[in-house]
Parts: sequence; structure tokens; C-alpha cells
Amino acid sequence: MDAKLFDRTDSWLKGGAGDTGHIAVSSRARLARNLGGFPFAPHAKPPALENVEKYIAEGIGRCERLGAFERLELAKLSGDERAYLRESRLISREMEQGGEHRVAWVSPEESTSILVNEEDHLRLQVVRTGLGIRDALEALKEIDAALADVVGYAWSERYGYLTACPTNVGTGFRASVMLHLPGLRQLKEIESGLQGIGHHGLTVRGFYGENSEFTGDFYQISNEITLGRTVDEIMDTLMLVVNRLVEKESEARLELFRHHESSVADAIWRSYGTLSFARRIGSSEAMRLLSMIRLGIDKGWFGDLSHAALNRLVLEVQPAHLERRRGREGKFDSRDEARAAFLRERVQAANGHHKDAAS
Amino acid sequence: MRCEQCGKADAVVRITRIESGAAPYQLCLCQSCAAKASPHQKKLLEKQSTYDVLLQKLMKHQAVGEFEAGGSVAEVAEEESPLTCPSCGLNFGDYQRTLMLGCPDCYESFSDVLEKDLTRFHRATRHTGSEEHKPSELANLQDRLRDARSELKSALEIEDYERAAFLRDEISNIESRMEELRTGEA
Ligand SMILES: [Zn+2]
Ligand SMILES: [Zn+2]
Repeated sequence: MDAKLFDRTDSWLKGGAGDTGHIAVSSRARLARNLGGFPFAPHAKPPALENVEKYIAEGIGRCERLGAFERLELAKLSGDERAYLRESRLISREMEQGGEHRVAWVSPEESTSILVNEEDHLRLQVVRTGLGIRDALEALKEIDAALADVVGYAWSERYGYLTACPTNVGTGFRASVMLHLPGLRQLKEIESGLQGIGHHGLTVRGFYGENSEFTGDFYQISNEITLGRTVDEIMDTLMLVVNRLVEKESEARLELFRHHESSVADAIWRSYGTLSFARRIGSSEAMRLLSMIRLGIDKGWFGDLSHAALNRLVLEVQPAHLERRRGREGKFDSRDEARAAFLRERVQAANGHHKDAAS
Repeated sequence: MRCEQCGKADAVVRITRIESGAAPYQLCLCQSCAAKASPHQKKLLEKQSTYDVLLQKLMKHQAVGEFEAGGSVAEVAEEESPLTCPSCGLNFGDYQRTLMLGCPDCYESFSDVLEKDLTRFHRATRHTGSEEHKPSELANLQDRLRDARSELKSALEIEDYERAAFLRDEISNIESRMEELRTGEA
């Protein structure tokens, strides 16, 4: 795979995170679409999948709007490359498995990808930093319209966009926002904060998606219901709940520093100490430590380290990202050693004003 | 391994719990404890019971079919056909097992039973939205093919062989045009 592509995959991290950036980490909007006249991918035989792929490739070829997208055949990428793209959120966990006639069309600069022959013939997705979900949706609508012109979707008046699994039928729309909620967790208010989310047709997942734990206090809020509500209604519900959580987390952090400052500060600086000096760090430990540092950034304790820079660090300590760095530098025996060395370098370099904390 | 909740049945799923005051932890549970602990597992269980209801229905249906059709095997099979999608051949049982449909037409083919699932997943059975939608040539052909096939069936039933021959040709024309579009050999 083109090495330069890797260097551009994480460009979505660059955007400004806005005034909720200390809590909202990233946003992703996704549409599931299928072609009329073809069998759905999960039960389709390889020749049918091949036809679907060719039909879509031909359509994208005719589409000016999608001219800059690069075509990646998943079966031709290595497992490490696929994992890297998944960590960068350009492909899904399902696509990471590879498979014949599966293709990802990616535009790293726009943080946009079009996945072919995943569970649905087409999965279109856009990632944005911070609470950029509305922006992501606008970009997504544009891609959707461009594709609809060239391929033609499976659609019915009754059920809307028809998807392989009926859990996605209707709008085919899934919006998800990743929140960092260390304050609520430490005040033991996470459970009550997330209570009733299902009632709104929403669900919560961990950093790594389905069935993952809430590593590093990261929580992904997304809609489960896709039928019987418009895209805008789904967005409004999600934003209502997300904004309320952002508010609660802000209050929790204030409360935490007002009433428990010495123990919180102790935990944050211990995390800083470990990140600055440890020789081996596993990925979930790194997530836990970085979560604490992220909380300290609110207080301006870590100089040059911004919330955005920390989001990037969280991504760069993931296994495939780290493996690529290790391969380039070629001097570490284990991944955990490489992770510790990388974190030492970044965390020490960023800390300009840690004396402030003692004052 | 045994269920970590009741210690009686075999554990079949692993779920992650979040409770305040503790790190998330994992529990291996049996089906019924899992249903109590997690709405998602409950949903899966409910899906299973839809399947049972369907099986009962099918058996009842078959009995009636046999009675009315005087026990002819071929006609009983004909009576069962609503449970197979005529466009892609997917059996409703395959959907129940995998939760994946075979083709866009499956939504119409299975609409009665499927809408129970839609209610469970979405608390709704109808799409609302104002999207403009223009189908591709292929999707149009798919609709025409479906209509022609069902008309052919009725033509054969009333023994209108002239109409049937016409429809048979039309079906083969539509099919070859679809094949051209699908393989890009137009
Ligand atoms: Zn049990
Ligand atoms: Zn079907």
C-alpha cells in the first residue's frame, strides 16, 4: 500500500475541537446503502460480490465529486495495514477481516470512506474531531447524493433504504459521538448519567466499539433506531443526550476539583510520572494514564499538550500505529517498550509549566 | 463453564457490566441470566421466540394445506412458499439464524413476520423521511421482473398459455439485460 496514504489517514484529528473539545473527542456519521437488483452481501456468492464491486467502481469512476478517492482492495493489504486503517477509523472492524471483493474507497483529507461489500453493499462514513457530528452529516449527505446519481439504491416507500440487516433499515443512518467522561466515572455517576439512554433509542459502547470495555473513560454514544424517524430527528435526539452528558461531565469535573482536588491531582501526577519514566506500557494501561492526563489538561498543567494533541496520542499508542513506528525505527524488542519510549518522549516534551500545579 | 450468576446452566455469553464505584467487569452468563442483565441479550432471546412462533405457524399452515389440497406433496410445498423469498430463494429460517436478509425484495416477501422484528428494533414499522429517490435502471428492471414472474404464475393458473409464453420471453429479456448491467458488458 502507498506509504504516503498512511501519513494522511489521521488528518481528521487536525480540525479544531470547539469549546466542548475537552469532553467530546470525535464524531462519526455513517449511512448504510445497497444496490437495487443485487443480492445483499452476507448471503451473496463471490461472483455476485464481484459484480457489485465492479458496478460501484464503474459508477465512482463516472463521478467527478469522488474523483480523488483512492481504491484499496482489502484482500491485497496486510493484516497490519488493515488494522492501521481501522484504528484511523477509515474502515470498520468488519472490513478489517479482509475478504474477497471487499474494497475501501478512501479520501483521508476529508476523513471519508466508502466501504464496498461490508454487511451492506455500501457503507459511507465521515469522521470529524470533537462534536463535529453535524458537519460530518453534511459531508456525508453530499457523498450520498453523488453516489445515488451513479449507482441507484435499493429503496421502498414503506421501509426506506433497504439494508441487509433490518436493524439498519429506514434511514440507514448511524451517528456516534465519542465522549471522555472521567469526572462522572470518578464521582461514580456514570451509571446514572447513562441511564435511560436506551429509552431514547440510543446506545453506549466503549472506545473499541461493540462489546468493548470503557477503556480510558471513553464512551461512544450512538443511535440504534434507524426506522420511523428522520435523520434530523435522530440527530436532535442524539445531540440532546450528548449535550446533557457534556454538561453533567463539566459539572462533575468542577465538583471533582473543588472537593477532591488533592486526590485527583495526585492521581493525575502519578499518571504523568508513569508516562514520563516507565519502560514498558501496555495499550490499556496507556489509555488509562492518558485519560488522567487529559483531565489535567483542563487545568493547564501540561503546557503545550492540548486536548487535540492528546487525542492524537491516544490514537498513536494503538497497536498497529505503534507497530508501524516500531518498524520504521527498528530499535525496540517489544511493542510495550516502543509504546513507553514514544510516550516518554511526547509527554516530557510537552510539559512546559508543571510548576503551576504546585502553586 | 458454568453461569457465574446462577451457577446452574452453562454459560453462553460474556457481557460487560458498568457499575459506579468499580471498573467495568465481565461476567459469563447463561441465556436466561443474560436476558435479565442485558437488554441486548434479551432482544436476541426474543428473536429466538419469534422463530418458535413462526415454526408453529408453519406447522399449522402445513396441516391446513394438506387438508385442503388432499395431501398432495407438491401443493403443500406451494403453500409453504411465502416463507421463501421468490427473488433470491432465501428461507426465512436463514434470516432468523443470521439476522441477514437475502435481497431487497425479502422485505416484501417476509413483510408480515419481519414487521414484528422491526417493531422490536425500532418501535416502528414504517419509514418517515422526505428523501427524493430515483431508482437505477437495474432497480426498475428488478421490479418489472418481480411483476412479470407473478403475472406468469397467474397466467399458468388460468391456463392462458399465450400470455404465459409472452411473459416467459419478457422475463428472459429482462434477465439478460440485468446480467449485462451487472457485469458491465452492456
Ligand atoms: Zn445463569
Ligand atoms: Zn430475497
